[in-house]
Amino acid sequence: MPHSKGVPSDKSEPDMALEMADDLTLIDQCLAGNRSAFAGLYRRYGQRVRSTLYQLCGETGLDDLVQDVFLRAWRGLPKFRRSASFSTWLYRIAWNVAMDRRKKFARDRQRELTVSDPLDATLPDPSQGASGQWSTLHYQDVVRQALGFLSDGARSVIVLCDLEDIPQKDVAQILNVPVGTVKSRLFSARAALRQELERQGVEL
Amino acid sequence: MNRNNQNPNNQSPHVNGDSNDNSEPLPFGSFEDQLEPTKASQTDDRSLVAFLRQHQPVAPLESSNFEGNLMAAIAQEPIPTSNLKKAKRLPQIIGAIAAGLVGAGLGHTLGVWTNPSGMGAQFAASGSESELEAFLEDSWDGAIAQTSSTDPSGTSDTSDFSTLFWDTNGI
Repeated sequence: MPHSKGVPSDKSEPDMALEMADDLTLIDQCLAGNRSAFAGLYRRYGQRVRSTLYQLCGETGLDDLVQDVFLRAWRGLPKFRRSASFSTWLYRIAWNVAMDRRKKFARDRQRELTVSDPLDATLPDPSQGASGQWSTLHYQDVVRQALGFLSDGARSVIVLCDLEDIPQKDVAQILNVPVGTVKSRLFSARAALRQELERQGVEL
Repeated sequence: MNRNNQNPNNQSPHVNGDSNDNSEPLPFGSFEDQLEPTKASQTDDRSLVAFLRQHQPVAPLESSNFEGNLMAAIAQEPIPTSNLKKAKRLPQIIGAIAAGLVGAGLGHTLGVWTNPSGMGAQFAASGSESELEAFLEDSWDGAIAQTSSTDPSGTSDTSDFSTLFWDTNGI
């Protein structure tokens, strides 16, 4: 994160150089054998990748997933086509990792949904005037459950387009589908999500 | 699932954009244009997206020293190299091998003619075509005679010039 002028920085010069360098420069340095340049890429995109993976897969094993994404990215750097942005390419890897995880734990997901059902009874009812932190936590849980209600394809476009705010043309590249497909999936996903949220008592 | 095909009476804009009907072809981009939300749905979408962003579940913080662990794992990985670069070098390698073989063949051939103990040396020393012809005739006759004397069947095959040539170099 850039710091304001005049504020002394506790960052070393190499760290500053990593922050200043653009993605392609860092990638070139990585390919030349400079592993520390990869730390710059991680610091730049790590949190966004983490957030996306969390929305797609949940909290279990999140650190492992993030590490898997960046290890795959490191190994695949020579295959990166510079016609696309690095972030789009990285999101593509993250999405692949997420889908691999979801397929692997499909049965576990079903069990988790079943287990999480009793939790609903302990949550406060927003229609009864819940407010403040409880309300925020409640709505976060409602959104989490509503996202879990969606199919993988629908959830992916909601997470990438609406939560991560990635342009639809980039989402099309990430998911390897036409832009029109992203639009139609988003249309359907929003409708399903709205219906699920309303079923849980949320008034939009 | 294509809802438009299931409901032919559906008069929504999606129906006209379906490529399976017999209506006139639509201009390029029409299908995507019809996927654009209406103003009412845009308002609904905005409120939905705003709600989602306001209340999206926040990812937990990464474990302590996660970056250090990641970089330690990266340090154990080899430096990534492009298979494409290796593939690009393949023709060069093949070319080098071919050039080596050709060079070896040429060297071998030249060696025959420049070897001091070979027939090439005799030709090179004399520089005379007549002497070369005489040498070839002698060698030819000698070879035939030798073959005839050593062939118990009496049927010598003199058509194999390569055998004669390669046997004489003695290298």
